[in-house]
Amino acid sequence: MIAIYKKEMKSYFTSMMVYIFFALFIAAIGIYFTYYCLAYGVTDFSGYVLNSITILYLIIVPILTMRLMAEEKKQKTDQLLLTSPLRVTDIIFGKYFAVLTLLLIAMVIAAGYGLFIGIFGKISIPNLMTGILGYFLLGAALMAIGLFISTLSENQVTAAVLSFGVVLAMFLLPNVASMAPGRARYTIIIAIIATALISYFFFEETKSIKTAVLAAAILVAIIVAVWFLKPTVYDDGVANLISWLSVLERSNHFFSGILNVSSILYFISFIAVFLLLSMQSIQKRRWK
Amino acid sequence: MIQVENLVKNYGNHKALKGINLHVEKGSIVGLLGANGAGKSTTMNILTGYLSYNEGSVKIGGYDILKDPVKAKQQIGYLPEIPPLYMDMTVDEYLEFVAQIKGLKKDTRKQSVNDAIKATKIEDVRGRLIKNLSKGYKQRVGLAQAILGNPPLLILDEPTVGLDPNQIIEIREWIKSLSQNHTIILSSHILSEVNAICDYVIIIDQGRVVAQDTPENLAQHFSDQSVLKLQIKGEKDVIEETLNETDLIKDFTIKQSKEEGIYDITANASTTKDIRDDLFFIFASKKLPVVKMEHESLSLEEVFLKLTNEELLEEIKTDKNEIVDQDKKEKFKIKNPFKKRDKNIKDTQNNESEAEDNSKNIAADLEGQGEKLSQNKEKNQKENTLEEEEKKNEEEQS
Repeated sequence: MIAIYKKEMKSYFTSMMVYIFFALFIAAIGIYFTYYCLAYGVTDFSGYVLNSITILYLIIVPILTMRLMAEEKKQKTDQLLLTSPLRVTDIIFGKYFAVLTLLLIAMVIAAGYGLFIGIFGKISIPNLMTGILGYFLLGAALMAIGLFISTLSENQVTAAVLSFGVVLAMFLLPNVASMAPGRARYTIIIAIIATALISYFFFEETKSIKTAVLAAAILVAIIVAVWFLKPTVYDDGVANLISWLSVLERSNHFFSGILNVSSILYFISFIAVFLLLSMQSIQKRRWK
Repeated sequence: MIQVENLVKNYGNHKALKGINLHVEKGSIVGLLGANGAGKSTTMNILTGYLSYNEGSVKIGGYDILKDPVKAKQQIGYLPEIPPLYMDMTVDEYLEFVAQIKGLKKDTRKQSVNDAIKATKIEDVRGRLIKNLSKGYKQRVGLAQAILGNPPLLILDEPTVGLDPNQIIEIREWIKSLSQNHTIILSSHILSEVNAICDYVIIIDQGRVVAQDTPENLAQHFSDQSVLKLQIKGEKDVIEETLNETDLIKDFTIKQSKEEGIYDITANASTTKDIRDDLFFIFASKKLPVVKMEHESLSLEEVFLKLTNEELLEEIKTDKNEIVDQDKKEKFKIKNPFKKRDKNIKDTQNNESEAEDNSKNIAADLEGQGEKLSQNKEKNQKENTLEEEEKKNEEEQS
């Protein structure tokens, strides 16, 4: 893992991407810092500045994650990694921690800006730290998605466009949630469509109709059971589901200074799921 | 060292490997032969744990590649078809990285890297970026990566691709020298290469092992001892008459060779014993110089063709041995379907190898020339003995 980590760090700093990332980050933070903190004297760094620059992830995530696995596949160096005595977990964690390190460096820079205000006025250090943690966790979650997307594609550009699209969708989710229909029957329709998609996925993966039918039957049974046991779940179900998926909404708690353990756990499980998916996606290639 | 039982691999509906069995002993050099798409690379990728398989079992040095992957992989040095190089690293950095992921101890890493660099003779490029190296050097860096840390088993997928003839010979010698304390599996579609290096040849076709033996045994096994190939100088009628008279020969075909006045004859002996001596004296007594006489023996190339493409070989052979009847000859002058086909086959072969790599051709040419030279030598010797025979005969007569 350490070998992969070192290699990734080296290759980040020998390529252009990492410099673009830092340049963008510092420029964006500088603009908002000047506008809010210097011009208007706002002391709430995380609530104003950090909250405003979350949009940066739209560009940062694709440029930092696109080449992680896609490049290995294109250069056929995945053959070296997978035939060496490394485990797939070593490869994924090595790469993921390299990205997190870059993010961490960016957070240190951000903290520097936040603390700088302290020279001229009174700031709340816990508030600042919570905001920075939120910004970091949001980034970590989106990077995990980016890493997963990079394992799917052999082409960096495809991976970049895909992660851009997914991150954009993440940013739009809260808006979509407010537009979602509230009636219970829409929730059920969506649930049935999801059931169909999931059982088709099972069929594609296993090529056995039995498994697919079994999966569909179990899901339908769950839908029916919930309908009889607790029908209120279906009220506003779509909106709830969407906002549950929205990492951005979760991070807003942090920016307003609320350190919520459930939010932290949410982010950690979100990251774990996507790292696991990345490993599975690499393993799957071997079984193809 | 390697035990593969009944290996099956499917790519979707396509069956890439249909039950392969391999047993490779420690310290041997095994050549994996096969046409493009026969399953060589797939087999190697499975042996090294890059791909998984649908049925069967693979054991490397006693460890199952799926159940005990880390221990099995520690014993393997693998050079894939395309060397897995990081273009933005220098050779030193790259090998250091490989040493790390192979799990070599920190204090031995430097030494191992130096050994690998020395063995593959890349000392003078060790500080350069890999992307700036020539293809031959890239191939060597790939080889250095494979032997790094001295794994007991080396799996090399077409190791001499992209090297110039000198380097090819060098690398071959080097691989041979490695066999003392390594087991080596290499794939190739240059048959002369396999012939030159390997103690054991496995021929794969369409996902099956069609033959496995030493190169010599393979050639012997598939050749026909009762068929003689002759070149005789003289009148066609006289030669035919002589051949018809003797009861040593069951039947024969005769045709004009490239040289004026010399005829190519393919004859089937009526007995299984060696009739070359008797035949020689018969022709000598008729004052028909025997320019060339040999048992038809198949080269590894022909064995390969025979096994992987029976039909193709038949076509080539019938074309070669065409009975040149006067009437037919004229017909064939206008239209000879075999000739065109043969040419097409040759063309495609040429194109392929050209596209693959020019150096291969050069190497093959060099070898071809070597063979020709030795053939000429034999020819000369035979002619000399023939002349001596004739002189003796004359003396006796006088």
